[in-house]
Amino acid sequence: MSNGFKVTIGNLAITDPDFEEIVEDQDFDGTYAGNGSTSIPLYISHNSTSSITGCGLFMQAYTGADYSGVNGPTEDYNDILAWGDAYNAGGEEGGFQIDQDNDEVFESTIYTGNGTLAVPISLTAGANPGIIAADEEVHIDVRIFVPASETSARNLYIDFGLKYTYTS
Amino acid sequence: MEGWTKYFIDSTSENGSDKLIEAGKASWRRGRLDGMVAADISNGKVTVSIGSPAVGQFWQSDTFISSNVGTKCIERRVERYISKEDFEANLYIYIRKKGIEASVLLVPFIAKPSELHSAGFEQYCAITRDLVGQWIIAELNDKEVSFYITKDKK
Repeated sequence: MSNGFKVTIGNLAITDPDFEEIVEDQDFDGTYAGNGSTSIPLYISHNSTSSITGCGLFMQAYTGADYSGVNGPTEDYNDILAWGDAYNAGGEEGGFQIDQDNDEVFESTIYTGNGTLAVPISLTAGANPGIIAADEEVHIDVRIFVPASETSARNLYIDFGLKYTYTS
Repeated sequence: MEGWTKYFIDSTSENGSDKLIEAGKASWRRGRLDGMVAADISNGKVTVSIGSPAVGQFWQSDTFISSNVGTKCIERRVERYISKEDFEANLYIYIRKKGIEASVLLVPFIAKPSELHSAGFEQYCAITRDLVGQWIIAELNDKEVSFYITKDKK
């Protein structure tokens, strides 16, 4: 069993409207294959005086400047997406997972067509689905689950983002 | 100029470039909303316009994505509400694109061919009864323009 999986996610940094910005990348702790990582809490808010709507969560290839993985951002993204694809198809558990009601049950796993930029996962956390109101703070938890069959220990980097609609 | 421009019945206009919006010096929702006859959205390369000879209700909303490298506008949107008065006035609405190529009309999917009218670089969509109560929406991303009709503006 390999125990050397470490995943770094870039985090939310929105300037218009200004979100409370997490400047530093976030690291999941090293994770054994066949296990979920420790979860990372994400708190999302903004400083607009009106709501942002149509909020969705998505994963994409890492776009930050501090990549120090092995295979490159695109390959890392494809790997984690493939883990989710396999799990969604009934295979072993794996992929990027989201818990939107903070019950430590990660109800969503990102796979092709679910949690990508083209098809984001709807934000359900918060007072109203898909909406982050002025002065509201939405809390979600995320983690990585490494499939048991993975044997190639390595560091992986991905972006996790928010897609939303806003009227200036 | 990336952003939007409102045009009013008294021949004045209001600009909301991305830079002005980011600086807090322009806001669609807090700016003038009455007396609008047309609105543009532009990504700096292509400009899309919706307008009519008469005053109408317009709205704007853009889609953004955020990640660790900041925020990016991936889709700009301008919306015009079709009212009962528009229909009763036998009104026409134009939708056009101005870019590297000549202005072209982008409404055939909205109106039946018999309801389309051309005049120079503009073409027009007649307001039919089935459009009343809906929004005509024009969306512009980096490469493409699309239009559709919906009861719910974004």
